[in-house]
Amino acid sequence: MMEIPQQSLISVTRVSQALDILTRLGETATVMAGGTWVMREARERTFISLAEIPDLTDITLDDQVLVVGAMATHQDICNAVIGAPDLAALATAAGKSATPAIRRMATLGGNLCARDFHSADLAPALLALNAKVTLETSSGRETLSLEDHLNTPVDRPHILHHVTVPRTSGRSAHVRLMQRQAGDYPLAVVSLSAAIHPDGTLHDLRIAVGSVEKRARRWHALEALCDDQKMTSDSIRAHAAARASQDFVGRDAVDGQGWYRLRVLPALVAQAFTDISLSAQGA
Amino acid sequence: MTLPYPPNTAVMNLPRRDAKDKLLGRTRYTVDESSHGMLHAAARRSETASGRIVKIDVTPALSMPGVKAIATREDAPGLHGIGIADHPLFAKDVVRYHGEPLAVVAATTLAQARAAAAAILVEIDPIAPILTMAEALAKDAPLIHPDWASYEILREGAARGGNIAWEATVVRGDTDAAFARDDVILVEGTYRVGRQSHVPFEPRAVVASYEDGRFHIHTSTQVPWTVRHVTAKILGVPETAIHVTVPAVGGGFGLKFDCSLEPFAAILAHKTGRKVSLVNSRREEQMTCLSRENADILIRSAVTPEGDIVGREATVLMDCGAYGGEQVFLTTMTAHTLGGNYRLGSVKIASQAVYTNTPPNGAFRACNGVYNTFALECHTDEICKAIGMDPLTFRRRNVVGDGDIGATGQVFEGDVLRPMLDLAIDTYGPHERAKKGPDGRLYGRATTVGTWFIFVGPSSATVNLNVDGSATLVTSGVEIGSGTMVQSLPQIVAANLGIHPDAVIVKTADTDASGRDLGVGGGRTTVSIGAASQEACAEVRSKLLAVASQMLQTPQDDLVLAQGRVEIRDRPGSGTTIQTVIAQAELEHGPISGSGAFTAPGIPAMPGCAAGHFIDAIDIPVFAVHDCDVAVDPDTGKVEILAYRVIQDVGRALNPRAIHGQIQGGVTQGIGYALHEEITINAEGAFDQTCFSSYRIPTALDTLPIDYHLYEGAPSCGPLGTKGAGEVPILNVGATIACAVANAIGTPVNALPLTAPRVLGLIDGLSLGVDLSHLSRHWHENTIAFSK
Amino acid sequence: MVLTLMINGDPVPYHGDPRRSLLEVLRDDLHLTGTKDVCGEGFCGACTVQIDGVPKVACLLPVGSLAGAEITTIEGVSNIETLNAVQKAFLEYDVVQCGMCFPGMVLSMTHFMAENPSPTRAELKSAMTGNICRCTGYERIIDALLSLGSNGLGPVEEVRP
Repeated sequence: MMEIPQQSLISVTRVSQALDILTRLGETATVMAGGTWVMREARERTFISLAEIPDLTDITLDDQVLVVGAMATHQDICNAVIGAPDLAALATAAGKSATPAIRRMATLGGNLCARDFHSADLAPALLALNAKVTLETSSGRETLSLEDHLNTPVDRPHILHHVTVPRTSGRSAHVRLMQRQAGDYPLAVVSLSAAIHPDGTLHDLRIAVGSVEKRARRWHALEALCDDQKMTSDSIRAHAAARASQDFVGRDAVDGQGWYRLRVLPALVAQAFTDISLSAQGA
Repeated sequence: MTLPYPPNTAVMNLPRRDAKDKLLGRTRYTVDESSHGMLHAAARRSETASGRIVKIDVTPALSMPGVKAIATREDAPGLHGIGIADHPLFAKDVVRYHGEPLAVVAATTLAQARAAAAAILVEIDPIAPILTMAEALAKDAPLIHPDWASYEILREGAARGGNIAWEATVVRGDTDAAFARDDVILVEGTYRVGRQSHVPFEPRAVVASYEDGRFHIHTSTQVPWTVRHVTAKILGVPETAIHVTVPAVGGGFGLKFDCSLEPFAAILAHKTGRKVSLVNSRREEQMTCLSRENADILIRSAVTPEGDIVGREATVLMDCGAYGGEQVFLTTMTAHTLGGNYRLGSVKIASQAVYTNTPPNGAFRACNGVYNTFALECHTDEICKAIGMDPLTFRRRNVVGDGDIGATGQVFEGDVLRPMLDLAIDTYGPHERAKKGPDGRLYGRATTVGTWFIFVGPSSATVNLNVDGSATLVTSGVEIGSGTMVQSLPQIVAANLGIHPDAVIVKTADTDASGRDLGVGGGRTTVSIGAASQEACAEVRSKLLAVASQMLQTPQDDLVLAQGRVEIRDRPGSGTTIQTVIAQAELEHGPISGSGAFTAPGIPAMPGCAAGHFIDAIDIPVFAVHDCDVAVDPDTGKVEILAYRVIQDVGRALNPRAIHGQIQGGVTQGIGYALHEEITINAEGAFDQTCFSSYRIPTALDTLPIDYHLYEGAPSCGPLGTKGAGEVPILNVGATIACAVANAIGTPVNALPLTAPRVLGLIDGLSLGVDLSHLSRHWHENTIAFSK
Repeated sequence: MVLTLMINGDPVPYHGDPRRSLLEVLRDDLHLTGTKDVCGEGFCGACTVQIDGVPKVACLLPVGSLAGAEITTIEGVSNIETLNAVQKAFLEYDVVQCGMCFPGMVLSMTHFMAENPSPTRAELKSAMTGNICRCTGYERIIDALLSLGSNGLGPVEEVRP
């Protein structure tokens, strides 16, 4: 068994080392990706830095699939996918989050794994894009849907290795509502992905909601009402308005109240729908 | 008073001489000071808003690594304050607010000081805190200051009592008769505003040492002489024992208009014999900010159908927090702002500073003028709706002009507001107040007027004429970012002496070098320090020209100072260099210097009108007209400002480019106040917004280029007829945005900030009004002095 | 643990806790006080430095992660004799007020202008959202930057440590 270095910041070169140290140090240690969360919230713990593990920053994009390593920064992700119409939600989520400097530091892994961060942008975008996550655990690699992963309590040490997003011929959009024009944690986020057929019907509709609750999640009830249907921004808004307070409980926090997060959801859904419609028209 | 030089010689867009070092990161603010052996201090603060102190035991902290000294309530006997001395340095027997200092620790490193501060044993028996003014004013409310009646009174004349720290009232004419008229329409409005936090990028910070029996205090302050006075009072030492110096300050906006951290550092410096640095963390800075106060306002007006305001009654409750502080003084400004702008047939205004168990409030750029203008202008638009009059027509008809009487009976000089309003109307065109846009948003527009004042008061200046033809200006002025110390002041001195402003050395504030000064803020620097400087220059000129007159065989009145020379008037090249005359003067008399002073001229008010006021009448009013277009998203409540226009009464613009900077910055800060900057106080009596991520100040995307016009020529006793320009840009912003939003959404606005949720609530009809049931419609019941 | 930090071209040995922020080390250990400590959470940008030429916020960078990185602070952007183009533009337009945000602003916008020689006003504002200023209201800073690059006075060069 490898000896744990007597340092408060340990830079590992293999994921298995990170797992090993994490397992043995437990709550006294934390994984450090970009550092933007742990430097504020967990400074007293031992940092296990993943920065020197090769390949974790890799991003590959082809006709079939997008694969993003956990240490890819928001800026790297945005640069890689901008222009891909099916991945527009991810481009927006990665390219408009936080501030320019933070986007160059904060990572995919950090954004998905900092469970106390309720306003993360990448989670709802990747949920809408039907992403899968690949984890390294002490029993080996596991791949599961992001949705299942977020719904599973964190009960054993694991390192997020990469995220896989299937390419589609559809369109996606990401709408994030802030109080100011920039610099806020979003109060509510809607990410939406769908293919719009020539007859105007929606297919493979996926809608995810972030920041309204502590964890981003899919809006399956709204999807069920609208998928395979011909929708307009008004009709999808109406459905969302009818369902919002049944399907979500808005959280009260310092940045905003729950009633407001719910109240704006229909408009955000309508906006996301308008965005993909315009995109589908080639606008 | 004719100037001995053409006024244009003082007018220029002089670039600021401190910009280069600031751009290079070389400027050493107080937070950048360090020296070998300097200790670092950290405070232990109460986490209880109200309670009896059972014990503060520093023993465990004293033995911790690096700890050199700890100061507690035993070390600071004095009480200080404004108007009344109610404020101890450390909490004494009780704590009155979350964040109140209990002890400070000096240690070798900051980490050690913080660790030791955390280790102090504190036991407080909590008392149910009084967190709102309504609770504080309730019948039989417990007293936050049970010994209020025994406090030293620093200024006589105000009613006080219970949880009311101070009351200022104005009564002019018979409002009962006015309201009883059968030809008037009665309009009433209630308004509530929250606090605003300054967020200077440099937090409050001080480095103190004790040498030669004196306390040397190097601090980020706007008021070196207040620091000197209050530190002495708190420590119980003579004022001569305190020496205050001030380097470049990284922002103030009024937060640093009080003595704050300095006495703590001074005590520790004395105990340790070492230099001690004390700097607020950002969290401390936010949580103990001397904020612009939250306030509750009730205003009632009796207006004739023709649009004459025959009677106005208003009550303003100002939350001073746990100690009176600036709000005691600011009760004075209600009459001049809420009671300002318009001709009033009769008026009654009451303003009370109310204690609560919350962090004490303070002064912030145009103080209560900002929310009083908001309430007044919203109320004015509501009056216009009630009587069916166009808001611009109403304002034109009623704004104060030459010979009109203000709320306290002062007589205004000159027509300023009306021509400014006309200029706005002519420049910015016709006025569609409300419409729905093609994008589905609700568009609104409004124009508002405002009255503020220049905070005149004592200033002094010395000018030393140097043998090389340069001059040194010695004042207690501080450069907090507006540029006055490095622009308009050297411009004034240079014009007086006929030299270039670059040849005027401006000494940084040092209470051992210059005479007393009220401080930098309140738009006063150019006016008060400028006037004192001008008077000092007059003495220098007179000495210089007496010698030159002999040398050039020409009467003094025929001599001019220009381009570094003493010339015979209208005969350029006829005279000699200023250096030549100085050399001769030094031979005959010694080095030349002059001193000057300035204070409030003292405009009279109507006798008997005002009670509890610090300023009965405004010596130099400053007026503003603002106009804006907004678009409101009815789905989210978000407000976008599409255009913003300012007409500012500057008297004379000495450095127009610098004023532009103040307008752009001040309006942006006002946008934050109007839309985004919200402070909520939780059940622990602490602010929820503790940092930049939760307290939303405007980013580059939240503002826009402000369209502005500098209105010159209004009467002012300031030097060259100037008025201060740094404060007033913020005055009308809350008002203008609120009125425009009200027009856009077709619903009156009665609270700030207009966050998106608040606006959406107004659109949805959720917020039905502000509950000010603790305020009576019968004005006298809201007062101590007039209640039966 | 001994770490060597490359700061403005100088190798600096560091022996302390590797989790300490670069900001703290710069200001407290090295007395490079041009980088300002304002918010401590990466929102205000006053602590912006460049790491291998890329602007990042020093308050959230643990020094232990900076071995081998070229760190440039405001002290290394230019020297007292020759300000860089962004600093010159700010000087010419007389935009500085209290000054605390400007070192970070210079680090951020020098990089942005070098990569985007002809930005629009909107692009400049978006690039500036992580550099907050409480004094100026931004627009005059934008005016100064618009005078640069292909719009005016010639390109802005990359910062070289």
